Amino acid sequence: MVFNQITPLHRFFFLLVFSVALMIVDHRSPLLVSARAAGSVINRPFQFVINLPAATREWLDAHYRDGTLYRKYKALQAKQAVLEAHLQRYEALQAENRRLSRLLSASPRPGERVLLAEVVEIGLEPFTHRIGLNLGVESGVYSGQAVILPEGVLGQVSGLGFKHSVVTLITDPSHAIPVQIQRNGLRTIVQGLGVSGQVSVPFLSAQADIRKGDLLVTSGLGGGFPAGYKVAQVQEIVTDSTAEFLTVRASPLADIKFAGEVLLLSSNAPPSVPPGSAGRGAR
Amino acid sequence: MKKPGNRWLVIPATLLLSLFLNVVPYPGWVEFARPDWVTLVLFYWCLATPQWIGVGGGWLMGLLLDLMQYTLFGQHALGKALVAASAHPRLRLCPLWQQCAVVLVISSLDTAIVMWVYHLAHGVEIRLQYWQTAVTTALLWPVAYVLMRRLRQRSGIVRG
Repeated sequence: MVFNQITPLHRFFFLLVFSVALMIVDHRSPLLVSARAAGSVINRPFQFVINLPAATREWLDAHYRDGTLYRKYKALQAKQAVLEAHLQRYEALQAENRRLSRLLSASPRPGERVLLAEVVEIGLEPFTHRIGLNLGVESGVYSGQAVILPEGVLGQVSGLGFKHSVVTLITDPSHAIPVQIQRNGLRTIVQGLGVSGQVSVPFLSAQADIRKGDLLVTSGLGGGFPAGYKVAQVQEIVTDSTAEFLTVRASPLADIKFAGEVLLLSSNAPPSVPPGSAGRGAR
Repeated sequence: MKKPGNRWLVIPATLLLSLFLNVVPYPGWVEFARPDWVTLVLFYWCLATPQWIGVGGGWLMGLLLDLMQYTLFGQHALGKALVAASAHPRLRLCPLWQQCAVVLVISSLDTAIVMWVYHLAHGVEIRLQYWQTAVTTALLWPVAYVLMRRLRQRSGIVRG
């Protein structure tokens, strides 16, 4: 009988069909998200071992290296002073902003709510740069939410579970974020390349005013990210007289490799009031 | 000689180690050339001990990779099932350099499957440098083969 013999080839073809079906289901519907969240428990021990060298070095530095702790303390003190100075200006600006928005009779812009989440998995393959967080729908995380580190923007929530979420980093090739150059306000986008520590700034014409060292901050266009957060710094500009666009490489300011915790930013800011409608609102 | 009841534990242990080596972060300059340890270890066990691990085992390894790397369920699974399915016992008779060539082809196909799904599902641009992994994997095959064979003989696992 032909059917008595199940060869590896038969098994492979069965699994081929099954895999394709599984991929389609996983791509099209959220059915398997909870299975993924439950299964991701197996990542914990791996993540622990991966973080072990960095954690050990940090611990040794803090406890045994002479003077390191003192130097760190000094550096932090200096940073604190600078930050406090900035904060004063920020408070003044916030007060002014509140006054102005009251004048415009728009509702005061509520402060952005910040959630602290723990990184539970890091998956850095050449083409996917994603991390898993320990908070999900249960804690009010939503799809598209901005994820930042103190140094700058890290990425955006792209997958949701009940107690689990997945963040696509700005270095992921499927990710793009609207930015502007802080120096002159020129609007553009920053796109991932699939390489950690590098992003590209495409579609800038050869005449565009961009220099090495320029800081790129979120422009707030598209509504995904609140405006004004640092994203990347321009590293390299290649000018090619025959090409229509510049090739610009920038390095992201936030580095996930050694971060254990990230901030989730929820901007429940109301839609900005167009200039013409302010008067009508006051009546 | 180890207890005959436990000797087969070497197989899941090495497979687990290969999974770990596949997901551990690498420095930026080797990122595209990182070898596919899972393919190396899986291919060896499929060749040497088909009675223990075959197409289904390979598929499961791929599924674990999908879970750990946030790819679609089935994306790596399909690739690794292909790796396992192409480990024909007759290949054991071939010289090492011919096996290398086979590993190069299989690993390239595996990468092609994974990249193609990326392209279809997320519109990722396909670039030739992603296939550097297949080259590194094939170059490492002789070393992996010799080391794995020694490990298998030491732990007393009989060839199937």
